[in-house]
Amino acid sequence: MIRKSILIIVILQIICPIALCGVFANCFMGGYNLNTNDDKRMAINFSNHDIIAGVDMRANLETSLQSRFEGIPPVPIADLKASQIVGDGVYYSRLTSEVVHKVYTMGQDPVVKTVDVDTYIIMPKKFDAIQAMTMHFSDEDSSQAELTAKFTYDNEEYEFTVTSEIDETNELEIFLAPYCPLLEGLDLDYTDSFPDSISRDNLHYEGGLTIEAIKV
Amino acid sequence: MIEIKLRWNTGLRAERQAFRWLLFLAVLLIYATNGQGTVSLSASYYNSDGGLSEEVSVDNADFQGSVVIMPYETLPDFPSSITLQGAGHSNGAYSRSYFSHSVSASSGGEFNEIEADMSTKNASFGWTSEGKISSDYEDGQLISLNPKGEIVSGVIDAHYANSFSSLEQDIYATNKYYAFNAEITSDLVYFEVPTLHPIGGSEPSQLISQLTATNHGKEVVAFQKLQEDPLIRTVVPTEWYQEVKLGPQESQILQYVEIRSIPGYLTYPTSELTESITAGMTLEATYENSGQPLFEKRFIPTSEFSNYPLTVGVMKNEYDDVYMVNRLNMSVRWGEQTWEA
Repeated sequence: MIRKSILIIVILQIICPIALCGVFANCFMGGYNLNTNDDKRMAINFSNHDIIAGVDMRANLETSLQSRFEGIPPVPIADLKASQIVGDGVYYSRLTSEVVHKVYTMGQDPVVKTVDVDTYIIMPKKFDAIQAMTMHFSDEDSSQAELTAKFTYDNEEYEFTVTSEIDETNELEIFLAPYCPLLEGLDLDYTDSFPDSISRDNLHYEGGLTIEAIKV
Repeated sequence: MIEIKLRWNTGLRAERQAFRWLLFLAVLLIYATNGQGTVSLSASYYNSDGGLSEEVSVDNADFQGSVVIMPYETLPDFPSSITLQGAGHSNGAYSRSYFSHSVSASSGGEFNEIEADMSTKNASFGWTSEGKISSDYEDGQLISLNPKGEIVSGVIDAHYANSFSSLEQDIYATNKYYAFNAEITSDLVYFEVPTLHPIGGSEPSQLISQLTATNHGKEVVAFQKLQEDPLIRTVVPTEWYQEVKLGPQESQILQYVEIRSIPGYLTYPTSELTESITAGMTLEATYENSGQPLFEKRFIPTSEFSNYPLTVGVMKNEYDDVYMVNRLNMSVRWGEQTWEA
């Protein structure tokens, strides 16, 4: 007998724009999804937290979630993506996420998988960046998670990725800061300055702001 | 109450004793103290070598001074023919206090005058004065005033001047220790803030300073401010420095604010005003007579950075061997010579 599956595809797209005039953003966003069929339930909930700080910056946070039962017999599948795109004028960008995926099968203990994601970029000069995570939950093939941080600094683009199979408890992290191990050997400039000077009629002025990262 | 006393000097050497009938030594002990209200003193001292004059006024402050007058400069034990010195201080830091003191000297056709005055609320001050008529000095005279003050939460308005320069000082502080010292001579007006450190506690701190220097036909106004949230002060200490030198040929103002995180913490520019530190500076320069500006008002940070003032937040870094420094600095020089930009 072919069971009729209840196929639910939920696409949740949340775009969280940051106003052009904003120079600091601290945004929480989350979602919860529940799929059921005859003898299984899948629940997935996530919460994203992003922090963006700088001057005259542009930023977008996009999240999408697709969850469904697929195949015969039905297999719970979920795909979650979240990406934060920040434009010029950013000095600090951080994306964190907590994802909990549960599959309940009648007569069995639930299978729970959690993934914690944390990535930040902080620099003494402005940069733009894309920080993105993707997660694929499935009973059939292995569940996978990937975290990518790509940023443009001093007109050069750098990209870092970590991947992991999703077990019971997982953490994915990419921390990019001055003199960190991931940036070692890249010879990045960790000083930015905004000088000003003027002379008039035997009066000379010099002033400015300097931002510098220093290693002990 | 003003009290004037006379005393004889009994320490003369034997070889001078024969001339004691020809010597007239006058010592005036001047003591001024204030209980309630304003007390003022005005006095002049002169001999054939020259003269010194002073005017002192105090309110809720004490002053004590002395002067030694010789008929002329002859004795090794008294190298100056007129020697004037004094010291004063405010009474109590949690009230209003005021002093003004001017000293003038004339000798060999030269006349110079210096003055200092200070008005404080919830702050304390002290000062010393000195004047000498002696051939050991150029123009045969030396005059100086050395005021100093300190403040945690209060206001100080001060004025220092000699014959060709003046400096106005306006300070407002909240939960921020600020100490300064100054020196005024006939050739120099000098001011320095060498010490600045945070006061612990759960309240925000703020410091606002405006220095207005006038000489060489120009008025220069240097402004500086600093605000600190107590939540990040322990991991992001700040430094503040100011120095002013007003001389007959060249004058200079230097000031800086440095916001430095401790290793393991990094700062970032932000507009979020909670858990942050804000700092900024401006400079204006005008012609003294006409008030016309020499150039547009300068800001630090500049418009190239985008925001004035600078506000920084702080985050905990995964790596504890790196820290961030944000430094705002300004220097301005003016006078009789030209500097390259």
